[in-house]
Amino acid sequence: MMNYTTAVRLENAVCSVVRGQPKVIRHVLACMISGGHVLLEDFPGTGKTTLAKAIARTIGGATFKRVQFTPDLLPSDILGVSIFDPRSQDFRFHPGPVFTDILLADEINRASPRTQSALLESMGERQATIEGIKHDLGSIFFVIATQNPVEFRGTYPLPEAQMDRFAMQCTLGYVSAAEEVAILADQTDSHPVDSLSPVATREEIVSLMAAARQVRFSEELRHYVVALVGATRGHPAIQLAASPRASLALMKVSQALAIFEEQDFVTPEMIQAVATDVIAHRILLAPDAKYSGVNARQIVNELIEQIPVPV
Amino acid sequence: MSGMPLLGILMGLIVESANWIKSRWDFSAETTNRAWQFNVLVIGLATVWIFLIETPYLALPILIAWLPALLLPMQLIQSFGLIASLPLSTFSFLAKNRQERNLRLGLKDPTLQINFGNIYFIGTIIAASLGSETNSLPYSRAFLPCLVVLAGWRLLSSSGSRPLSLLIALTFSGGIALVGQIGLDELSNWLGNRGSSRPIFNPNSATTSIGRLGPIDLSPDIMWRLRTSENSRKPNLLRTGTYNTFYGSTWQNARVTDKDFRDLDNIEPRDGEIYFLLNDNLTPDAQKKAIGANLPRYTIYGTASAETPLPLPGDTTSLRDFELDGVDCNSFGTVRIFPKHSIIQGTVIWQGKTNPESPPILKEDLVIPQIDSEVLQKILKEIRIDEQPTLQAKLAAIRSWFQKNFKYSRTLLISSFNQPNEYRSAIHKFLTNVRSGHCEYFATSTALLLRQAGIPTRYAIGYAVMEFDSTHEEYVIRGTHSHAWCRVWDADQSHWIDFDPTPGSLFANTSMTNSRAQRISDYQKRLREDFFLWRNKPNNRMIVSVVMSILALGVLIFIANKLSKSKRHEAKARLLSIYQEQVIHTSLNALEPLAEKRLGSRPLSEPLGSWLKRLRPWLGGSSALDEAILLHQRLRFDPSPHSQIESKRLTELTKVLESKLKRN
Repeated sequence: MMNYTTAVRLENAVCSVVRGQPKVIRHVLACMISGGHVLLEDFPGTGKTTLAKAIARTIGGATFKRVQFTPDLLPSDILGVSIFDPRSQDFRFHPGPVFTDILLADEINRASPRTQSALLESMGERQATIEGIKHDLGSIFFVIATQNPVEFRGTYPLPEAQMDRFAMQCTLGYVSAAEEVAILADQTDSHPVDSLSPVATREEIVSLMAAARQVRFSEELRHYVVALVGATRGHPAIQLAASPRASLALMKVSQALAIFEEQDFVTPEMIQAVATDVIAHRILLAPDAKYSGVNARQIVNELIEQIPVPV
Repeated sequence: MSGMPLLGILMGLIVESANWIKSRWDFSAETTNRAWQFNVLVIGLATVWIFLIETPYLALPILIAWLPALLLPMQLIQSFGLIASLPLSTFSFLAKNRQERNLRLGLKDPTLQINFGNIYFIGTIIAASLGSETNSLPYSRAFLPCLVVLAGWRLLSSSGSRPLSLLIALTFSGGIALVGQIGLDELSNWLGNRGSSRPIFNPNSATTSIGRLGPIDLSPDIMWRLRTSENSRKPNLLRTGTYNTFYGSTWQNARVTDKDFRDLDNIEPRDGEIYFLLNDNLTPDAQKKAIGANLPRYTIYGTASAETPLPLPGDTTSLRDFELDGVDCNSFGTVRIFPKHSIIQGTVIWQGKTNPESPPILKEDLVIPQIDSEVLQKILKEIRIDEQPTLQAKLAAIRSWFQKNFKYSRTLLISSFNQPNEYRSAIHKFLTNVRSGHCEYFATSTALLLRQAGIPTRYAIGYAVMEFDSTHEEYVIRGTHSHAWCRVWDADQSHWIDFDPTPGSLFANTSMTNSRAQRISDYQKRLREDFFLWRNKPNNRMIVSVVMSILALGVLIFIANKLSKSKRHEAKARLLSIYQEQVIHTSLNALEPLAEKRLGSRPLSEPLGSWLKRLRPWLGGSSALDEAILLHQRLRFDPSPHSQIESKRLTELTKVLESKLKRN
């Protein structure tokens, strides 16, 4: 089918630039195709920005904007502002960086919660209300936010509601030595991202998004998704469990993943592949669990192991 | 194992029926916990029960022999439940605490999973090897080889290869097991002998400690308890056996035959009052006297089995209130009982003029060993027995001679071996040189002395009544109160009388203070006996059985109610699915058992596809597997309609894979 080839082309193009991360790239692309947003939590220099740029570059005609979040960043710096134009004696709206196809929100946890929340509406409903006027955002609108997991000084941890807006949270992590050598080789002349040419049009992406929604999802797997998400509720180590939005996101992302797997239906393997990325960042650990050194991803992985999978 | 093959087979059937019956129950962790607690409760009660009715040495093997029956509830949970294994936290409180803490902290739970069936199997084998039946010879010879052969068969069929090494290993382990079994047998024999509180009684022969060295070791456990009725005095000597022939160091009954025993007559003067008469040829008038209300009487309590000799005063006339299958008596007055229950209670009426013993047989009751006759004559001369006018005077002379010159001692100093020539026998040495010994020396010497003096005398063994427990107002007879004395024929009265020549220091030498352990053991014994006696009364028995059956019924109803709520059907249950609707199984699912043999059972969370892909080394990179998995996923998870061709193709592919797997 046409959809598969588009998806595969997209994936190969990004993979040629961001070395050694095929799994994460597939997940991030699936997240985009599913209409969700992704939060990359990683150390500086692991290729978060490159990944975002590469995705933007491969899509012909897609706009890419980047916002570096700082403590003094204001909501209007993201959404845009109306400025009085003395010539026309009128207020003219200057759209902010949110009016784009792909938005890289770098170090999102450095901005104040007020600014972070400015993104809430845009991410949830693909629209921005500025000074009472509703502005529709593009049909792709894909937010890639990043945050640094180690540095906490001068940061404002994302509110739970904001976290829930992200369909997935992925981690790039360090690549193997061989891959790192390849990265060095790639960048001797110029950055490979600059030479990346588009492999898909905006329209193709939009049709991919539509196709993802058509991927078949059996009744039994719906139960499986609900069981996975439901297992977080009532778990003694979890203070705040995953919401139905998590189930919804899990379904949508695994549907999108099916496209990359060149299938027109979802299998349990696909659900398991993205479940941790989709669920883990939404749950809040109980204090004694947090201080015993476990993290949410470990607990979700354990839950996946405990729940019988349909065979 | 517990001596009830039928029960064993029934239990085996119940456990095995899990393989044929498709019903399964969904036991939650809480239910299994409760079941284990219930099981522990059952085992605890059974332990108390077994320790109540058995001596501690025998109780443990019996408890283990009953373990398969006691652990049955847990095993049923295992075989009829949905879960394949139970977490250790079910059994151990510590493990449970740790699990709860780990869960709270979100740590990975390393709790061990146990298949209870294995434990149950081991328990059954241990119980089978410890059971009472294993002691009978043909069975015990066959048991171990059978076990080894069975184990070998199982191992051979599962491992398949290397039969030789398996054989060697089996031979080794079988040999070690054999040695272990012999050792265990010895140990249990030793324990059993120590444990049997009453030495095995033989009415025809009593081995004495004459000629043995070292202290006499007797059990301080309570053997019998006596309660005298008001105004009755206590009996001093309670006889269990009488013998008339001394040979070597053994007193024997010359008429060594069980035929000498005759069943006792019983009369029932009033309804429900059965008296056994010790003397069988009494006139009705004499019978009335023998059960006379004015005669002294006491009630005796104790543990008895078939042929246990009943300790009775020499002049007992009748017995009443005993619940017996039978009671018999030989011509020496030894009374054996065949009780209905292991713990008996009854009243003994004594001090009548009737005697259960036959008159003396001069041929036997005057015989003395030739080697001792010289020294006996010398002593009789020294006492000047001929000058004493009456039997009483003669007895008094002997008694005072012993009193004056002899010392009672429980530490034996005379050996029957290596006697210097001047002493002809142990009795000789006792009478002339050592002059200290225990009751058997005194009784034997006296019997021989009196016989030498022409008075028919027999040797009697039994107990001396000397300990009064004032808190319970009863006399207590322990193993340490075992005693020996003489039965002397009083020709004038023409009946036998007791004569105890042992110096009175016997009583002083017996320590009356009991250790704490002994007090506990006494308390347990008393409690056990009183409880059983209470239970054995017809009215109480009914109360007990009614209460027990109501309790059991209640528990059964409760369990049945809970069970009916959690019942599941296996077909659904085996899938262990979160999805309650019927799902379509494809033919690829049929590969699962084959794959399980290679890969072990599939982890709960691993999808069939990725699990089967691990089979590649056996399938040799076959593309059929990939195609089959794809088809399976399509049939299974694609909600759109599928064609017959697809499922046919999958069946074909599965067959190919199956044959490949079987070949490799």
